[in-house]
Amino acid sequence: MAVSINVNGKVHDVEVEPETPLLWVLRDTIGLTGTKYGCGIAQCGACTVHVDGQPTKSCNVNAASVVGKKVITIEGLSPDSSHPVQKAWLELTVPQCGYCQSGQIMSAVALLRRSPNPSDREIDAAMADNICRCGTYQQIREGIHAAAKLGNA
Amino acid sequence: MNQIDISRRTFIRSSLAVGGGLMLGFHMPVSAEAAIVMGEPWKNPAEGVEINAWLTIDNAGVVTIRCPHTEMGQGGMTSVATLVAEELDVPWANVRCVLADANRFVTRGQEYKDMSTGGSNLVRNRHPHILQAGASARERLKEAAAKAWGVDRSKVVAKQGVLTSGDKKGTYGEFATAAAAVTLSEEPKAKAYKDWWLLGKDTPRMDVAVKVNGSAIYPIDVRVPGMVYAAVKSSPVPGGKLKSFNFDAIKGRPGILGVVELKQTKAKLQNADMRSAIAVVADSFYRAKTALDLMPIEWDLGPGADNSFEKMDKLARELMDKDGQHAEEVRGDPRPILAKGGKVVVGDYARPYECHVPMSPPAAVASVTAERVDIWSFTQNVAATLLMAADQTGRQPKDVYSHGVYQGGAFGLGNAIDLPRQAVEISKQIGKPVKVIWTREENILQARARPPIWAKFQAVLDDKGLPAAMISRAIGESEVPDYADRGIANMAYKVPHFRYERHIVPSNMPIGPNRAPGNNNNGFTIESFADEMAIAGGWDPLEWRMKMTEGNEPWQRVLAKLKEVSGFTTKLPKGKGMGIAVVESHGSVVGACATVEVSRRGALTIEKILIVSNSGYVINPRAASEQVYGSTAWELSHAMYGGLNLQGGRYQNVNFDTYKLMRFPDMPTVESVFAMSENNWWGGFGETAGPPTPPAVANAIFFATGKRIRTTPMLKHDLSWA
Amino acid sequence: MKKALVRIFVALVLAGAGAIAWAMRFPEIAPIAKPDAAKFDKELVKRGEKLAGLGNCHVCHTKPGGKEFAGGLALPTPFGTIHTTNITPDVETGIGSWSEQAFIRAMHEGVDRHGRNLYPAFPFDYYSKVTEADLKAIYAFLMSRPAVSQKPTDNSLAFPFNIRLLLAGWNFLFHEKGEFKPDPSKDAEWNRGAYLVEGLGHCGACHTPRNMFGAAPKSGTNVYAGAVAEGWYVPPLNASTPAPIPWTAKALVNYLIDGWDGHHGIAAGPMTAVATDLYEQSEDDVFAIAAYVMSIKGGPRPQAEQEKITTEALATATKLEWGHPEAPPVPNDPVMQKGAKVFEAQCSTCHKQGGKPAPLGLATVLYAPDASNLILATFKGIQPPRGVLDRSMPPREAQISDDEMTALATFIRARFTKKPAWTGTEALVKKIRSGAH
Ligand code: FES
Ligand code: FES
Repeated sequence: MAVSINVNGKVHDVEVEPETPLLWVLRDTIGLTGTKYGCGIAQCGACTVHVDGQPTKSCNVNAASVVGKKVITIEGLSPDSSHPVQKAWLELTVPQCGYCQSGQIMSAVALLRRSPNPSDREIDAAMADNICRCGTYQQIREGIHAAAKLGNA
Repeated sequence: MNQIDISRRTFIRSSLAVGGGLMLGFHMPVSAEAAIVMGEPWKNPAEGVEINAWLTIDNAGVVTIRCPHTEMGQGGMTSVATLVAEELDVPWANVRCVLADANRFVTRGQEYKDMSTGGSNLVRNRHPHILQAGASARERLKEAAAKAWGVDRSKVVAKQGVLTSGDKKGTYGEFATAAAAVTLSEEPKAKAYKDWWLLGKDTPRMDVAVKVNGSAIYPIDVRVPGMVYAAVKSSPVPGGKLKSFNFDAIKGRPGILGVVELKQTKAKLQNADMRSAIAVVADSFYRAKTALDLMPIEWDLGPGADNSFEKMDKLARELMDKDGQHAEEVRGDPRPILAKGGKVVVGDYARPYECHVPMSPPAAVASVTAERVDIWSFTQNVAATLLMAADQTGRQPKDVYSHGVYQGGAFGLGNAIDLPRQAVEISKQIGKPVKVIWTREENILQARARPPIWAKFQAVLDDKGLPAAMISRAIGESEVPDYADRGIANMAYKVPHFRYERHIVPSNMPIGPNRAPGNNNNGFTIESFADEMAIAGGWDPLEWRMKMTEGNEPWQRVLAKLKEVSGFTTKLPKGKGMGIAVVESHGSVVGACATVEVSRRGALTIEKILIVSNSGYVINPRAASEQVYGSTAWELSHAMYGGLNLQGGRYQNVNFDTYKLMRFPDMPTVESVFAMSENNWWGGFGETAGPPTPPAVANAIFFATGKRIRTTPMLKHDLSWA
Repeated sequence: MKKALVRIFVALVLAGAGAIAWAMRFPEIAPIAKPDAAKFDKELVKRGEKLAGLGNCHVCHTKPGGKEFAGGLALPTPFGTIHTTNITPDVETGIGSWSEQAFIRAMHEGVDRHGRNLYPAFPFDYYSKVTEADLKAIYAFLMSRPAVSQKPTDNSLAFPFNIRLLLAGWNFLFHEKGEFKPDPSKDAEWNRGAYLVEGLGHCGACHTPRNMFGAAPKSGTNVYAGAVAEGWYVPPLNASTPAPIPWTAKALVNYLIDGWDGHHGIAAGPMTAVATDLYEQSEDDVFAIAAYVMSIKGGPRPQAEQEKITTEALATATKLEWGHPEAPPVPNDPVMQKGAKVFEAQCSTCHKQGGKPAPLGLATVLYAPDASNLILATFKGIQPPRGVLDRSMPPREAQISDDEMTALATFIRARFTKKPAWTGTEALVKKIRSGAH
């Protein structure tokens, strides 16, 4: 069955079962591999994308449920890594292995959109679902504060 | 299947141009002073002239350094590049780095000496030949210029990519071709520490740019034309065998292409025996995985199905009170002294199995054709993976290409995994390139886990309250019992009479290295007991450690720094505590000071972890501190929340809902401080801050609550106090 | 027809009481110049912040996405919609011109600075128990917040409830005046707990069913007998709780601070904010609250009994978990089959044997009189309370149809409890979907 999905501003008609998780549609069918698989059960946040601006675990929503909505993945965040969060991440060399970072960045971007100058407490709440096995949490926290400054500059 | 657009402008293409033409695209990094490109530049003359196996230089003087080691987040590429660039003496902005070619390595006399990555060895043990590679290239450039200018090589100065002699001047780029033809009569020596211009500075890691925009390629991301997907299940109990399966039940599902049975085979290469497994192949991973989950499978689980941690624990605790099967008198004989009695201190400790769970579930892409075998795998050693693929397919190593890609964490698991075998076997059988992904569940079930450990220590104190005699009894499991010794048999505390014993508890659970193997567990046991001895003898734990390591310069340096910066005190109000611990591992001495708060109901807040490292030299303080933050979080994960639940011969908690890890809100502030000895000694950094962290926390909890934590995960204990 | 009669009755009663109350109405308290925030004692402000958290002031006085304490949150009541007021120190639209005395009077008597009666959605019938000293701290805290100019939204109340004067009658009938008086026969912890629960904590405002005048009685069998708030079923705090495992003081402390307890489940709906506020409070206060709540429940059970019930309930619930080898098969009934299918697809990744959530068979929500909490949680998801940030539940409104939700709720109730089937589920699903709930 063909499902029509709008990803990063482009409409893709994909032949998948409607219950296929968005994660695998993005990665395997559309070929956007920046969104990662980490657990498949909405526990790690590696697969976080934005659906109509909301941070969403793409392993946990199916293709059918995003029809008519706008999906943004890490690849669609900026054409040249110029988003303030990406800039801050580069400046502070936040990623280690990097695998969790697409999800971290998407969660951080959504947080900053809701709250342009988040407190540590808000950061904790917004980022609690994103696991980083390399333990970059401390740098992510600094990165979010730095991005907040960049965003306001 | 949709392919990613590959255009020359945004991608460097590595065209293997063989039957069907495998193509792989890698994004160019977006912006970084020194950047990484990936692919196989040695096949691409446009990349520059090869001076030696380690580097090429192009006309513009851009140096591309080949990193033979795996980049898994530890900054390996940056370490190799800075080591080479230090000796070569080129502006850092002109440096690029690529992952080196394993095929070249195995077919051309192992020019990189070793392509393995692990044990914090990269800087610690490989620095001599990496520095050498840079120095050698520099001298050959100088020799080429000397010849051209008719002067002696000693009169040529090579600095920041420029060669000069008197009024003569030229760039490395100009002399690259000539240098490639130079043979040196004698290899130069590496320069002295005082002359470093790049090493010892905060160089930002090179692999970051591709990791903020989703373009870094990990094995799970590799896509090649005609590729299909496989989901696999090995026997959930190690050693079990596939009895039967019913492919007919799922055959009609969309996209299903076939089923492949994988037979148990003993491998020539260590730690990579192939387990009995079954794979479903489909045109997408989701279809393969869903079908595999629905396919009726029966296993002959074998004798391992009775295994449980509870049983092992029971046996270990019985053995603790018996004389060890293996014993070693390290100093004197403590037994008669202990038999006399006096002020005796006893402590027993245990830690369970733990899994690596790298954030990227292990994955591999393999393409087996008549001409060649290609593999992109989860691994910490592309060369070993190449040989494994050759072994599995019966091909000559020269026909096998094992490609370097980023690793989404590995932490030791990449040294011991049969996944690449599975991938080549499936591709061989179905005749198509295939991507195999282990689900998180499969990753944990098949983990070569960190082994559990038990230890019982007994000491008798002298009239100064210091240990006069001590017996250590460690209990390891049978697969890799040596992990039970590390850091204990050779502990730094010079107890005058010290004997070390070991027992073994049988288990068939596969074991492998896991970030700071051995030390990660033993640091907890020995450093908790150190505090118990100090407290029983009326000593301040920090002063006790100072006293017990008198004359040991690296330890004294760390302890002095801890004292200076931590504000360590045992006199805090109830509910608050500080704890310290020091562990020597991987060539470094690392101290930790934990500050905790335990509320009345027993809620633990770890406020801060201070880490003081002494690795002799540090080549990149910033990158080293990043490893400190990471390995601290790593060990805290296991010590606080972890514990694989082994029951019925298999782990029961196989995903992040039940196998818990440290998350953002619980992460304490970590501060990294250095106390370097700087006397021509190179220690590791990738895993050394982990081991002292849990005992520092346990010691702090003791001061906060009066409760001594002797097993992990610590949060299973009721820490409440009235 | 019946409704109309009730309304007339209510109006008459209130009018009568109102007439009596007319004589005792409150005068205006003169406006003051906005106090200088910097002049307040820092420690007092800090204490006030904690106390305001205990009173959950920001929860009602902040609208979604709005500035904190600027009001504007719509509170649906059976009598119409009330909008909360701006309690920032803005002179025009907030309480910037209120003296300390005016503030204390509002908290104790339920009248504003002008002497106008406030609607009892503002729980002054609880706040009247708060000591003046504590109110002064809260005043200092509120007055040192940033002033936000935001006009209060007009309330849309039906006649006769839009006549404020009638509230004086309400006050007369239902408002018990006077600060909290400690009970000398009880220990200090209990008294502290009682002060917090009956005062700032205003627990009864949600946990006690309101009478037809919208008042929550302070005595009688109905006190803390469970109610409905903002569409959510609020379980009883007294002995009538349907929770399969009886609460203990320790479980209460953990639940109140973390918003989660392994034997009862997670706080959701309006309780999320309460737990999040309590996370910031002194643990001693939460122990005190638990001690008092335990006494409402009739005290702890004998330990052996508690352990026995716990072990049995846990064993039963565990066996019912999805994927448990001894779990019963799904009955051969089309609704159950459908519900089970939805469960498998949407719920079972998390709600399964050995999973992270509390076993469903222990979750109080399944023992509620109707499916509203289950439907609300499924559709809207659960925002984790501050103490357990990694325990969220994603919203499923877009993924589950009305029919599926009905079947799911029916299935879950039958599968995980021994209670009779819920009634009216289909209508509830529609109502909640339409947002009318
Ligand atoms: S893969 Fe989606 S949350 Fe882990
Ligand atoms: S950077 Fe490796 S998992 Fe986060």
